[in-house]
Amino acid sequence: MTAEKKKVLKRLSSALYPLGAAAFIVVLWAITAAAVGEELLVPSVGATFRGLWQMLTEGATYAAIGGTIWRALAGWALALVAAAVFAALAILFKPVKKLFAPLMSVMRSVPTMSVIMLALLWVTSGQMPLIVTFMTLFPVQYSAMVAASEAVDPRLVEMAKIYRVPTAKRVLKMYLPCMAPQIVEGVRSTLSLTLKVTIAAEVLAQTRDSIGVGMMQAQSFLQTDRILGWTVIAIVLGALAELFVTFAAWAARRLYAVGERA
Amino acid sequence: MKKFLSILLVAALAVTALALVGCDDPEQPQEGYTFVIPDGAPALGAVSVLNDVPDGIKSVEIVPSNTISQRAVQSDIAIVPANLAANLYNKGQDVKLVGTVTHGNLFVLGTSDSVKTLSDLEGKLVYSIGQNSVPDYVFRTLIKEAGLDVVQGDAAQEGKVTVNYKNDGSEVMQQLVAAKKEGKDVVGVLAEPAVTNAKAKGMVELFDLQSLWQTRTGADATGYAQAVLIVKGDVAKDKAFMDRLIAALEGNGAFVTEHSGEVAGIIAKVYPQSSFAAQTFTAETLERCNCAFTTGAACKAEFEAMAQAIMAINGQAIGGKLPDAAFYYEG
Repeated sequence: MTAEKKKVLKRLSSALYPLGAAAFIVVLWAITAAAVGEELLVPSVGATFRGLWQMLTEGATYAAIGGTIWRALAGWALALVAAAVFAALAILFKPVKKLFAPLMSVMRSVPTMSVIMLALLWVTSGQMPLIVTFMTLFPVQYSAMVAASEAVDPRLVEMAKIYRVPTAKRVLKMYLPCMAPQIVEGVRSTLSLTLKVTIAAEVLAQTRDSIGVGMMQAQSFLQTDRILGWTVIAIVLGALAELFVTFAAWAARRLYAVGERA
Repeated sequence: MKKFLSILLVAALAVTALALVGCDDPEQPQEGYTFVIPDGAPALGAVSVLNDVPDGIKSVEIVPSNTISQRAVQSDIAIVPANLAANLYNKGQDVKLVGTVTHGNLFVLGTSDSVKTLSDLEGKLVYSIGQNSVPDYVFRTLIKEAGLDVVQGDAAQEGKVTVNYKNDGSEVMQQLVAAKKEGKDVVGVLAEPAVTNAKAKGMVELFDLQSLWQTRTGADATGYAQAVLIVKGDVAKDKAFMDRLIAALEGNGAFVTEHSGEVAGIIAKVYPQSSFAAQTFTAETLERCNCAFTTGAACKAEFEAMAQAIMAINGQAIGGKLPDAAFYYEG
């Protein structure tokens, strides 16, 4: 076998793993559905995808998907921006970092449910998922950024201090390039968490035009196939979002590399 | 080694999944039927049964109301919201409607008495319980028939009735209390026994939805089919048992009024985490919960009126069509 052929085979087999995993899930699901034998409790694979297909022909489905994406993205982006600002302050000024440390660990350990319960009292059902998403993600993203900064070579930091490199230059030329890979990884891994938290909050706030309420309605209408249909939609959205960030990071790296050369 | 490990893991997963499927099998050796009741007002419709379980029932369970659809599928006898009963039947479940256990306990309250007629609700924000269930359909039917438009939202809209759904009565109460403090004029749809508490906190009772519904249908009795009793087909054939069950439930209305002080305790004994556990109800409050059992022709007429009203708003709630004659139990 030639090296070339081996490479192709290797590529092919690595594509087989996710397919195998998907097949495993489908088989397990089919067995479970057959064992339970009750469409209302565990709908068959076929019924679920028929339900999903039906959902995709309805305008309300897209309104819900749009609403949820908007709330998830808004909460996520707000948390990202706020985390960036706070992390920048913490990285540049050590006392600030020490001051934030206990605050962040408090925020991190506040149960999502208590944020939800309190938000139910204080804000409208449209705002609630956004706030809950923000509250959940902000400390996670902040810690990811601060942790990334600790990976920057301390000798480099020392050097910048000794030579009094201006702050803007330190951030742009030293911190950002060194931290970027870790930040991108952190950002990507919070995307699916974002979607989960947003949908949970939507269910409890009964937010109009949302995947959460779609699931809730499916549950009250005994449309278990649709609950699973919504789940498939949420999984696909999460995967698309992660793919998008991966692509954006790749594009940024190329642009950056081009910029460096120029 | 790695391969072996992954095979082992897959096998473990499969075994777990199968075990999960298998663990629903009841292991109780006793003969008899299982009976599930959702927590909240529907439980008030079966206090006499909880207090003195008729022969032939092996277990009576009160379950959180959001799990009742799944539990009803797995049980022989269940109390369920009217829409769910029709939906189960239309989805091919072998169930029969035996009777209505509660005929409505819904009231519209306001932070002030500015609303005198249903049309005054135009431009108002209404906090409501029970989205996609009986309270929602009763309120929307009455509003629609008063010639008003219903929209869903967080803030009042000019020319519309804006409904904001909450998970339970206490969430509605929180909004009403907050609005009253800020001097805002908002409205809430609440169910007894929460209505009594709300009035104690200064809210004004505006409408009794049960009597508005009676005016609408012209029926002899007040109210509508809210929570109903369904049984599986083979239970319905067990004539002797059915007579015992119906007799036990027919005693409920009188039992609840006579033993008003014990009602919450009887429910809490079966289900300690019940929302009613720490409360004491007066006979007046319980009377407003409308928990007299009806069966036969009266129940059928009442149920059909409800099913038609739901059909006019969202047929999916009852499985897309009105249930046919085979759905109704004939004693």
